[in-house]
Formats: sequence, structure tokens, C-alpha cells
Amino acid sequence: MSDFQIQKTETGGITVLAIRGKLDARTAPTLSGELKGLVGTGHARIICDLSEVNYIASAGVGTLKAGLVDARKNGGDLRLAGLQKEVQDIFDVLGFTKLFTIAADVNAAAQGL
Amino acid sequence: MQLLRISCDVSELGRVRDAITDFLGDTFDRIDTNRIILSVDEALANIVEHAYGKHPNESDVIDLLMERFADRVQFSLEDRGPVFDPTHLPKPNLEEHAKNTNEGGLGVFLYMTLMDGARHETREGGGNRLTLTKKIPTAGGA
Repeated sequence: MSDFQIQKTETGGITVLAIRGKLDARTAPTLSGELKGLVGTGHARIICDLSEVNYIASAGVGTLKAGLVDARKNGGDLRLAGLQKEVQDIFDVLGFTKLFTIAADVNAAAQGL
Repeated sequence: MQLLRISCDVSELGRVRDAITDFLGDTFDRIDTNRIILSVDEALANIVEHAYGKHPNESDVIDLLMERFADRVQFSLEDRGPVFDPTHLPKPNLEEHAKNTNEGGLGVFLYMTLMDGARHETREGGGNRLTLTKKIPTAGGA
């Protein structure tokens, strides 16, 4: 499957990454590069829209968690929006749900960011 | 029973997940189906990354045997790499992990947690066999 996509938009200093497809050991490095690029260029206020992500492996969770730590170190945050049930379950199993601000959608995630 | 021969490349992960999805059918609910697929995916991703070094060749393959028994489904992954038992790795400290920028190190924990059994054996002729099992829920619950 090669339908993994990341669409980037920026509004009011907040970068939204709309991710589509399966976030696994093959695709997570693409997201990792995107997040490092953003934080490294001073764009540390990030929302990852996961509403079109129907599968996440540990490589994906680890990449988002590393992005979160990096963003916060640089005065920003990385928030998650629109988690599907199966994706949320994996965050719950790892105990990482409480690390992130998780919102139903991008608009809600942007509040106060 | 179904056998898949897999090349040592992350591009194979999607095909293998699709095959597991077909194999499981509607035996489990959505969450457990995803947990099983994830567990085998994590185990396979680790083998792809570590078993044959940085530059595997065409003969460096991984075999996945999927079996259904009355009480469980079972997935056996075989490689021909150096003997390594992931089931005895120390459990990661998730609180520490949450504070650092490590992207990896969670896969083994996930399949050890999400499956009902994980067993490592040395493969006849060299290499490893990792067997993951999940009990089939009995009618009426559990």
C-alpha cells in the first residue's frame, strides 16, 4: 500500500499535518522527518490530524511522542485530533493518552495552542 | 493453516497485515483484531530491522505460519538470523520513555502485552522461531 500522505497547512502560526493511511515502521520515518523539520525551523505548534489514520504501530506512536517532547522543549506543543477507536486503543495500552492533548477535531485541538 | 514467505523489507508489512486480516475474518471484535495484527506487525518489523543486518540479500527471508486451533490462533515467525530471544528483554520504563525522544523500543512490549502467549525457540538449522498466540473468545463472553 503506497497511499500514505501528509498534507501540511499553516494558519495563525499553527501547523496542521493531516495524515492519511497507515502509520507503521515503513511510513513513520516520513512523519519523523516532517516533525523534525518543523520544530527545527521554529514551527513548534503542531496539530496532527489522525482522522484518516486507520492503523498505527509503535513506530508511529513513538514518532508522535518524540515530536511532542521536541515541540514542548521548543516552547510549543504537538496535539492530536480525530483518533479512530483502534488508534486510541494503542495509545491507551502504552499509557501515552495522558501525555497528549487529544481533541475530537482540528478546531478543538487548536483552542489555546 | 497458511504460510507466507516474506522478504526482509518494510515494504512487506502492508501485504502481511492484509493477509492476517483475511485469515482472522470476524473471529475477534475490531479492537482485538487490530491488536493481533499489530502484534504480528511489531514482531515482523523487529525481525526485518534486526535479524539480517543493514543489507539483507534475497535469500534472507522470513516465514509466517498462521494456524487456527479450536481455542486459539497462532502466528509463528521464522528467520535464519543470529539467535535472539526478544521475549526476555526487560520491560521498558514507559514513564521514562514518555520524557525522551526515542522513537523505538515499544514493539516487544506491545506484543507481550496484547497477546496471550509469546514463545521464542531456536529454529532447527539455525535462526529463530517466535510464536504468538491469542485465545479465541468463548461464546457468551471472556
